[in-house]
Amino acid sequence: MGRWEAEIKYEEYRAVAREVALRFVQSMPVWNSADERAAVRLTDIDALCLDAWRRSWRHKEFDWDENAAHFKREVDRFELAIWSGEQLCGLAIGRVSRGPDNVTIHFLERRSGDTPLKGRIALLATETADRYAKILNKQRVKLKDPLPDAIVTYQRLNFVLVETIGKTTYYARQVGD
Amino acid sequence: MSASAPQTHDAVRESELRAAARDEAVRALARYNSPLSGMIAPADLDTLRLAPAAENAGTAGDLVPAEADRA
Repeated sequence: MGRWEAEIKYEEYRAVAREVALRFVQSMPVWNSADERAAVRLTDIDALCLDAWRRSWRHKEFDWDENAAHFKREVDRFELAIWSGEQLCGLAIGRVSRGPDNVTIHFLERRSGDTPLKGRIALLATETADRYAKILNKQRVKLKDPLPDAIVTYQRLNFVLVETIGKTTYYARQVGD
Repeated sequence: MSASAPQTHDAVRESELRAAARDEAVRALARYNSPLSGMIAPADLDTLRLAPAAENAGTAGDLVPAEADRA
């Protein structure tokens, strides 16, 4: 399979993961209104998304141009843009283990401030990664080096510390948990 | 459009590839389907399998530099 065919295959895998995760999260009691719930969109991180990030995010914790350029070398990468209508609210990107173990989210960021979907970004990202892991027959979703302030959020989503390598920490959750 | 996309590829081939990948993904998710897993109903699986992938059309390899397949 050539690169072009492989890109199409994994784009569709991610598209199905997004659709299924979104349906699931939209069924949860985490929404302030039906309009808020209906406005959520999940996409890959494309040029339009990066343009929205450059234009509309005042605080930029991570360089998403650099992240996209780096991770998009991997055809089976995990990537996710989280939107409320036309507002870009969150970004996530990561990679897949060579063996059967995991999909790892390396970077996850919410637009700062009182932005739509505040409090639901980690949920949407980890549920989408969970579905992508299932499609790829991986056993776990992992988070690399979560920021200290975000750890309690991930613990609420059933992630636990599984590995520390030097200064790098990994949190993980079995798929389906 | 992908820098690595073949010049001669056509929309029919892309559509076939997308449909096959979507079917694989849905079948993989169906393995996990259970009342406790918060997953999807069989009717929804069919809907997903048949869903148009318009949002992705023509974006294969977007931002990906031309390079050989990963070993």
